[in-house]
Formats: sequence, structure tokens, C-alpha cells
Amino acid sequence: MVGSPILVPVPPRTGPLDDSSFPDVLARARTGDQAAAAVLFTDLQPRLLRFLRSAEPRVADDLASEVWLAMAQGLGRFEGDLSGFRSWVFTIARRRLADHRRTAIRRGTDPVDPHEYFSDRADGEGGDASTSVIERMSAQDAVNLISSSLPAEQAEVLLLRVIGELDVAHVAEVLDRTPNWVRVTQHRALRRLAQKLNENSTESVMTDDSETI
Amino acid sequence: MTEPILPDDMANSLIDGTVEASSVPTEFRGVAELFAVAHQPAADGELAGMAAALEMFSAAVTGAAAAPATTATSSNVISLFGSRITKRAAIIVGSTLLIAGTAAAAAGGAIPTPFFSSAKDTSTSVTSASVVVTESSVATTQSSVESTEVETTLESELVAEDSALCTATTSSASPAPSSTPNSAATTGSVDDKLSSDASKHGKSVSDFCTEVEHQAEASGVTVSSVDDHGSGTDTGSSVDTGSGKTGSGKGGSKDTTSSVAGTGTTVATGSDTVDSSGSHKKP
Repeated sequence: MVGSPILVPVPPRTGPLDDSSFPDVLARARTGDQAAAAVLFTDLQPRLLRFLRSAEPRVADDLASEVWLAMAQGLGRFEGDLSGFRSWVFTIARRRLADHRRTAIRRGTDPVDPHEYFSDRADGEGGDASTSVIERMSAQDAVNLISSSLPAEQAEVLLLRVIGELDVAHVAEVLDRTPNWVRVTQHRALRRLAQKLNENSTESVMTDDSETI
Repeated sequence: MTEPILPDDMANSLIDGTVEASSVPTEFRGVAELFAVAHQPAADGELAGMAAALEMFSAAVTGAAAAPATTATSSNVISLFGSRITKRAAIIVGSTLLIAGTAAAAAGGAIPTPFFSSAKDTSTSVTSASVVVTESSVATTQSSVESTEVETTLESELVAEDSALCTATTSSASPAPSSTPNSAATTGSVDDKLSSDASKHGKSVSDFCTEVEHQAEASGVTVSSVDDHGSGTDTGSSVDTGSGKTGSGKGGSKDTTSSVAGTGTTVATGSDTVDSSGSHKKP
């Protein structure tokens, strides 16, 4: 049972694209304004790549290009706010991913064994080994670790929540599920991920201890 | 081992990255660290090829905006229409639609009254007829029928009139005791008219009368009665030409009633009746 933790808020991330600036950016992007398109690209492309590379690393860049093309063609018909826009973009991404998997020979996602991270990157320093390893990860490594540690549905829910910054309702919309299903799956994913990380850190620490002995 | 339960607000804060890893339960600190790393800003490699992607994006946006105008131009539509449907088929379809629409409107009473009758007639033969009966054609047909009736009426009328004149002349050959100067004057005018009609046919009065009487017998025209008693009142006796209905002003038709009244010296032609006293009465 978790006690009542004291939540220490961190300052919100401020980017070039937020709810207030989104309508203007969207309107300019619809006219082909490259500056507005650059704002959208800077905000969305890293999210798209991290999401796609965690699923299909070899074709992720190509799939991302297809998503941008579909976005450009459907931009005039889109109506909604920033969360709705991100939800729409990830819906397109999932469809492109599904199309790729359906029409092409499925390629392995080259899942990364979580043990590799901790065995290869643990430097043997004391303290929390898993934390020290994670701190040296790239964003893509972290996403890959999430994806490889969880079943597909749980990983997808967490990635859409974390990378896409979508709320429960929008994730349910993208996955064509109910919000309650998303909420339950999210809890299970968090518990499982925490369990995996703790197991790996314990094993890593035990391995270090045995080597020391 | 009991599974840790994470409250909703804690889970959301963890996922959103709005909480420090140190403030979350120990079991979830690794998860918080992992999410914080996943939230990192874009690396250089993730924004590679941005210029080319923006070019493609802008071109696609402007192309998508211009696409409706290029794919559905009117000339393309017309050429497609012309290649698949001939003009004749289009005319047939258009005519059928027009007739069916007019018939439907007539059935619903949704068209002006002048068009209603012709449209209603048309509605009965929509499936087979392709000719729209207009009001003008109906009027033309009606006027031609009337003129035929008038010609027949005039011929019969002339026979009846001449027959009556001949009869009157024959009667006046044996003068009645009650004949008056007025009646003599009237008889004179009868003779003049009879002689003029005979001269028109190039015959004498007696031959003309003989022929007229033959024609009257052949056409069934009879002089029903001749009032020889000189009562001075119009008995309304008439010569029925048997031509049926005559128009009341339409197409210049005339009243075919010819009456001989009084002492047989009154011949009424047209709508007015002249009795022996010279007064006019409306029939």
C-alpha cells in the first residue's frame, strides 16, 4: 500500500506550441506557411518518431513521412484543439503502422531486453543502479524500454499517455476503447513496469555484489 | 508480495511528468525517472530532414487545397457527360421528366389553372404519349371545329332562308284580305332578296325556288308552319335547320332560326325578328 506522498509539482514545460497558440499556428499551416509548419513539426515529429521507432524501428522514418503527408492532405478538414490534433495525428500513425504490418512481411521490432540496459550500462557505482542507468538513457531508449517491458496494449496506452501527452479520453478515442478500459490498462502497465524495473535493479545490484565478493 | 496501488491523481502526475521522482512512492521512482527521460526535448537526430519535410508538407497542403478545382472542372464534367450520354438520350430523359413532373403537379393541383386541363389530359397518357398538348393547340383545334360547324350552318341556313322566301313569295301571289300596305312593302323586299339570290346563282326566281325546295327537302329543312291568319303576334314558329347547336357569337356564327310570322311576310334572319308591323323583337 502506498502512503500519502507529498506531490512536488514541477514547472510545466513550455514549448512553442500550446493551447493558446495552436489555433493561429493551425490556421497559418493550412495556408502552407512553413514557419507554422515548422512549429507543428518541432512539436510532433519527435513524438511520432519515438512512438513509431518503438514499434517498427526500421521503417519508422518512412511511416512518419506518410503521417505528415496524410496530415497535410487532411489539415483543412480538421477541427479541434491541440489535444484533439495530437490525438488525430497518432490515430493516423497507428493506421499507417497497421497498414505496414498488414501489407508487408512483418519485421521484428528488435525489442531491447531490459536486462541488456542494466547489465551493459550499469557502471557498478553504488546506490540505485536502475536510476543511474535511466538517467543516462536517451528519450528513445526510455521509450523502447517501456515498449519492451510491457504487453503491446499496455505499452501503447502508456506511450500515448507519455509521448503523445494525451489524456485518458483521447487515448480511448485513438484506440477505439472505453476510457475505463484505458484507465485500468494504464494502472496495470504502471504496476508491471515498476515491478520490472525493481526486479532488474535488484538483479543488477545482486550481480554487482556477487562480482565484488 | 502485494501489488502497489497507485491513486489516479498520482498516476496522472507520474505520466504527465508533473511530479518529482523523489516525491513518489519508492516502487515507482524508477517509472518516474523513465517517464522524465521519455519527455526529454527533441534530439538533433529526431529533427533531421526538417527542411525537406516542411517543403513536402507545404506542397501537400497547397495541393490539397487546389485539388477540388483541378479534379472537377466543368469541362471535364461536360466531356464525361458527352462521352457517356448522347444528346438524344438526354432529350428523351428531359422530356420524360418534364411530362412526369407536369402530370404530378397537375395531380397535386400545384400548377396554374390554364395549364391544369391540358396537363390533366396529358397525365392520362404519360406512358405512351410524348407530345405535350398546349393550350394554343387546343384552341386551334376548337376554332377549326367551330368554323366547320359554321359553314354547315350557313349552307343549311341559306337553303332554309331561300326556301322560306320562296314560300312567302308563293303565299303573297294570292293576297290575303288582311294584307296591309306595310306587308306589301315587306313583300317587295322579299322579292328583291329572292331575285338577288337567284341572280347570284344565275337562275330565274322560279328555277331558284324549285331548286331550293329540292335542296330543302333533301336536307330535311321544313317550314313548320306559316301563320297566315295575320294575328299580328309572333308565334315563334321557326325553321329548324337541324344543324344542331349554333354558336352564340363564336366564330361569327349566326342564329339559324328563320321565322315566318304574321301574314307570312316576316322573315327573320339572324338574331332579330321583324314582324309584320315592322317592329323588332328579340327572339
